[in-house]
Order: sequence, then C-alpha cells, then structure tokens
Amino acid sequence: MSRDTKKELLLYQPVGDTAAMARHLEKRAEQGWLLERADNWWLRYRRAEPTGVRYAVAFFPDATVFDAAPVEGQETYYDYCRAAGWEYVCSYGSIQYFRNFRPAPVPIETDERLKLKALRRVMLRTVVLINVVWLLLAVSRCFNLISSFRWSPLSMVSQYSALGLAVLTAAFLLHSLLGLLRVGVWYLRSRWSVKRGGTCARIRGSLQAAGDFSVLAIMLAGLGASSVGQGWGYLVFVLVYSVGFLLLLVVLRALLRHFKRLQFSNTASLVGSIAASVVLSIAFVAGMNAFDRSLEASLPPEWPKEVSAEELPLTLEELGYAVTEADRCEYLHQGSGRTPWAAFGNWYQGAEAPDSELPFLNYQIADISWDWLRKLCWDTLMKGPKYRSHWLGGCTPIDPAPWGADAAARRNRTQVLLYGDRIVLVTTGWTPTDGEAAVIGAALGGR
Amino acid sequence: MAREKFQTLTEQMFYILLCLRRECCGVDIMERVREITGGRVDIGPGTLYALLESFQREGFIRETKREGRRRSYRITPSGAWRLEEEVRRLERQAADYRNFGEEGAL
Repeated sequence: MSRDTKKELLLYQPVGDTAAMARHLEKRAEQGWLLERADNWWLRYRRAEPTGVRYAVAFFPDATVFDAAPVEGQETYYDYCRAAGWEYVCSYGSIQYFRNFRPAPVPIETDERLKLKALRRVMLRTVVLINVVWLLLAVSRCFNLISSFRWSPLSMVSQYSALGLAVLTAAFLLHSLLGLLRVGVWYLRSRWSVKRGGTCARIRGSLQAAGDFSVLAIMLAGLGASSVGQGWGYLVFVLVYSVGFLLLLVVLRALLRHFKRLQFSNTASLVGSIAASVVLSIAFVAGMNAFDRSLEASLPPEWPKEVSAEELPLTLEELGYAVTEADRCEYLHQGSGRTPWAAFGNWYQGAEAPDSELPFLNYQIADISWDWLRKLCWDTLMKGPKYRSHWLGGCTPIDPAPWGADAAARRNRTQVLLYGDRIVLVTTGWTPTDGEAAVIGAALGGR
Repeated sequence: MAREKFQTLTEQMFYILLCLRRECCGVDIMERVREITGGRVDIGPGTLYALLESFQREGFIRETKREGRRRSYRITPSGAWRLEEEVRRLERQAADYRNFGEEGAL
C-alpha cells in the first residue's frame, strides 16, 4: 500500500443503505481520497485533491460477481449515466459506484418504484439466497443434534460440548432468520412508503451490525462452551479449521479475480468458480478429516480408561459371577460428563478372552437435577433411537419393584430405570433374575 | 387499489413516450424531456434505462437504429395508444376539477 492509495475495511454495507454509503464516499473525497475499487469487504482509495464530488451507489441487477465483462445492456446503462454526468468508478456484482462533479446532478434513480424493484431483485439473489442456505444448513444441523440426542440423551445433557454445539446451531438459525426477517420488513416498509409517493426505507447499518454482533457473541459463547473439558487438542482443531476455512475463502476470491483478469466469459467464470468451490471444499473437508485423525492418533485417547474393579460402582463379581485370570477381564470407565444440571458416567466390564463365558455388564448413570430435562431424557429413552428415519424400537414398561426403582422399562437387553433424580441404563449379556435386579438397583440407584 | 403496471403512467413514463413520438437516441432522451418540460421533469439515467427496457418488453417502443452502443427508439402504435389513453385520463381529471371547482368553490 503506497502513500497515494489506502484500503478501508467495510464492516457494514447494507444493500439498501445506498445513501449512507454515498455520504461516506463523499466525506472521504472531501478528505482527499477518491474511491478506486470496491468489493464486499474493502474500499480502495487513491489520493487526490480534496473535492466536493457527489457519489451514487446504484444497482444493476443482471450483473453478478462472476462477470468478467459488462453484461448485456450494462455498457448502455453506463452511457446513460455518463450523459447525466455520472462517471463510472467501479462495481462489485450488481452494486455500481458512480461519481459526479456537477454541483446538483440529477440522481441516477428518480423513480422509487423502479429502484425498489431493482433492489428486490438484488436482495433475492444475494441476501435472501445466502440466508436461506444458512437456514437450511442450520435446520439440518438441528436435525443432527436431535438425532444425536435420541441416541444418547444422558451423555449429551451432561456435556458442555453438546451444549456448545446446540448454542452454535441456535445462533446460526437465529442469524439466518433475523437476516430474512430484516429483508422482509425492509421490503414491506419500502413498498408501503413507495405506494404513498415516498422513498424506499433505509436499512440501518448500525442496527444490523448490533444484531449481527450479538449473534456473533452467542456463537463465540457456544464455541467456548463446547471446548470446556475438551483439552488443547480440540482447541488446536478449531483453530486450524477456522484458519483453513478463511484461507479457502481467500483462495476462491483470488481465483475469481484471476478468471476476470484472464477475461473468461461470464459463463466460464461462473462455471469455473462453482467447480473450484466444489473441488476445494471437498479437499478442505478431506484435509480436515485427515488432520483430525492424525491429531487423535498423536494424542492419548481420553476414553475409555482402564480402571480397577474397586472403581466400578458395580461388578459382575458382586452379582455372583466368577472372574478368573483366563477371562482377561477389563474394567473400563467409558465416559463421564458434568454440567451444573447433570452428571453422567458410563462403565463397562467384560472379558477380552474370546472363549470366555463371562457375560458383559455395561451401565450408564445420569443424575439430572432439572425435572423437565430429566422427563425429556426419560421420554426420549422410552421412544427409542432412530437410524436413517427408521425407529429402532422403543422401551416396554416392566415391573420396577425387583429393581427398587420408581419406574422401569426394557428395550432388548437394556433396562432403563428411574430412581428419583437418577436415570440408569443397564445393558447386560443376559436377562437378570429378580435377585440380580435387586443387587443392581441397590448398587446403582443411589439410595 | 394497487395500480396495475402501466395502468396509469408516471410523469417520467409519460414524457419518455411523448419524446419518442419522434425517433430519439436513448442518451438524448433525458435532455429532450428537460427541454419539453422546461426543466420541470428530470429523468435519472438508471430510471431511463429501466423504463426503456420495460417499454420494449411491453411493445410500447421499438429500437429503430443501432450505431455501436447508441440505440435509437421510436414509439409503436401500441405505445401511442397508451399515451393517448393517458392524455384522455388527464383531460377527464382536469374537466372534473373544473366542473367541481365551479360548483363546490369556496
């Protein structure tokens, strides 16, 4: 950047607030900086004599960011503007920048109805399309989260990572809904105003910025929550992922500029950009998956942990099974989690020896202090999980008395038991007798 | 009641069609309208472009000549009829104003 040029980061350029952008450029011109180039993030100026030039930001809806050359009619449009004293400066997609040195030039748009029509077309192809894509991604993420919750509700409610992901997803959903709502409200207000002979409504950049930064704060909180208890490996992954994603965007933008410099046709530029986006995105995802695997391989896995028999709340020995050295029995702590509203643990005992006759014993214990959350987890367990839109079967209520429980149900070899604030899932390699059920209930019920 | 497209013409639409009763190049229309109206009506270049495209699609004007990027247009019979309709509408309005003005004058 030489002393005769400078760049300015454009944090907010609401598509509809052309008057504010024009005023901003005029102020810069009075300070001796004339606009040279613009895109959706940056304004580039060159030094000039301070001047009282007028700027205008207009829209040519048929132009897109993929166009290497002016599209049909665009040069004619520039000719008309030139005849009125409006000199073309630069453009980014459908956004066109002009300046005029005449003292009181006729505005580029003198019919608010037509201006609104052009803006509506631009909004549909940019802001609305992007927000609809984000909304679909967020909704799909919601379905993933719900599906994960159906599989393992007890562990999910006990982990900050799940909470963080839920908050992130909610923030994306909120961001896209807010974006669509803002456009909808702006369009209705503008239509109402223009029908009564007024002008298009302004989109206040400051309000939009406040809304977006609030959502960004929620996203960062979600990201922070999701990393609690994850270890530095997770943070490294998130950092590398974020930097990688930004690099991907930078490379795609550079490719687009390169296509334009090579003067590809508009269609070739569009097709090339889409193809490059698909290829680079696949490469990015593959690269991140490989990085994740290598990170996992290089870091000691946190779970499962081998523990001693004494550390398990219940063992097969306490149920009367004889465990010998030949069984090569393993005692595992398979996972745990703790949040202010839930604590969770997952244990396993089973034989490693392939010819052992020892059954396995696996149980999950979750203490959930919030009544509504506990009820939600219980009801979800009763319904059972779904796999690729197929229900795998819900639980059948059984007599809780042998277990000493408040409520009990069974799905296949898994017993789901309720003891006050505690939900216990017991999966055994056999069907427990009433006597065994009593021992299990006494050991795991927390009473 | 919502106005259908071109059911009534705005001032800018009216003067563009009026101007094109004689063949005129697109870039000269803004100046010609200013001359016709004595500077009272200004048409922005963006609005001009959009209206010329619309009028072509509706069949109110047709392109008569193209010299490089300079395109000339002229009103079609359909456009001339639409213009006449608008003039009659305005004359009826003016007549209503004069009649009511005499009866209901303060």
